[in-house]
Amino acid sequence: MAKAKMMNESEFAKLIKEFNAVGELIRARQEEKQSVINAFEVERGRYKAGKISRKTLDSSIKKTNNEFIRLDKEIRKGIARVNFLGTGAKQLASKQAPIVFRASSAGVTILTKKKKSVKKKAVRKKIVKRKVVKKKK
Amino acid sequence: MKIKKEEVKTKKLNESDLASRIKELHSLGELLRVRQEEKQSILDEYNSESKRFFLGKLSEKTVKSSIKKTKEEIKRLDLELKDIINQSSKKTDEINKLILSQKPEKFKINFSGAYHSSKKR
Repeated sequence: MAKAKMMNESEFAKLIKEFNAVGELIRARQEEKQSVINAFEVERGRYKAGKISRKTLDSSIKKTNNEFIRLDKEIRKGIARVNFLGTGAKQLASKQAPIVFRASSAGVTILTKKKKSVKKKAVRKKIVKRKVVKKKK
Repeated sequence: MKIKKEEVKTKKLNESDLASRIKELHSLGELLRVRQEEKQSILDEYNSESKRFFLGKLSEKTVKSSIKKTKEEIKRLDLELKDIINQSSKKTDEINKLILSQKPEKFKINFSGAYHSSKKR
């Protein structure tokens, strides 16, 4: 019996769900990054007002820079994940390219492409030059 | 004169834009599946018709018209399927592009505040 290709819906739904999740994760990390910047600005304001020492601010700078590195890493990881998921989604979709069927009075048949017959190249015969033997007089 | 300092802002992913694109991709996937099922039902229908012909319940003329109809339907569905596949591929590219644009900017913090380390001060 002829069967048309069927897309794996659950796999596709899973991909979509993950797309959403990774998108949300990226947004969350971006917001976290913004909040880290804002927190540092507040700290700097306090330093300017003389409420905290330079040493404290120094340690805060170090901490903030480390936080940036961590968050940037996570964002990049998310981007890479989306890229990977995108490739998967594309592959899944391209796999669904329709099979060509043909209906005839004998029933439904699948039209498959005929393989091109590879012609073998004719091997050239080596031309052997015969040495001309001179007859001794 | 006071110089107003530029507020440092991180990139923000447009969530609603991403959600709408993902939604579109989802609907394309569903549409693809629907068309595949439609194709299958047409094939099944034709199979049952050809069986009835073999049993002598249908005339050759009827089967011939059925063949023509089925061929046209399959052709239409195949074209639609190909179009949906192309569209979903494009949509995936769009999502990838949108996410890629969120590549993090490098910030650096010092005593004078936060600044883009890539931009010249």
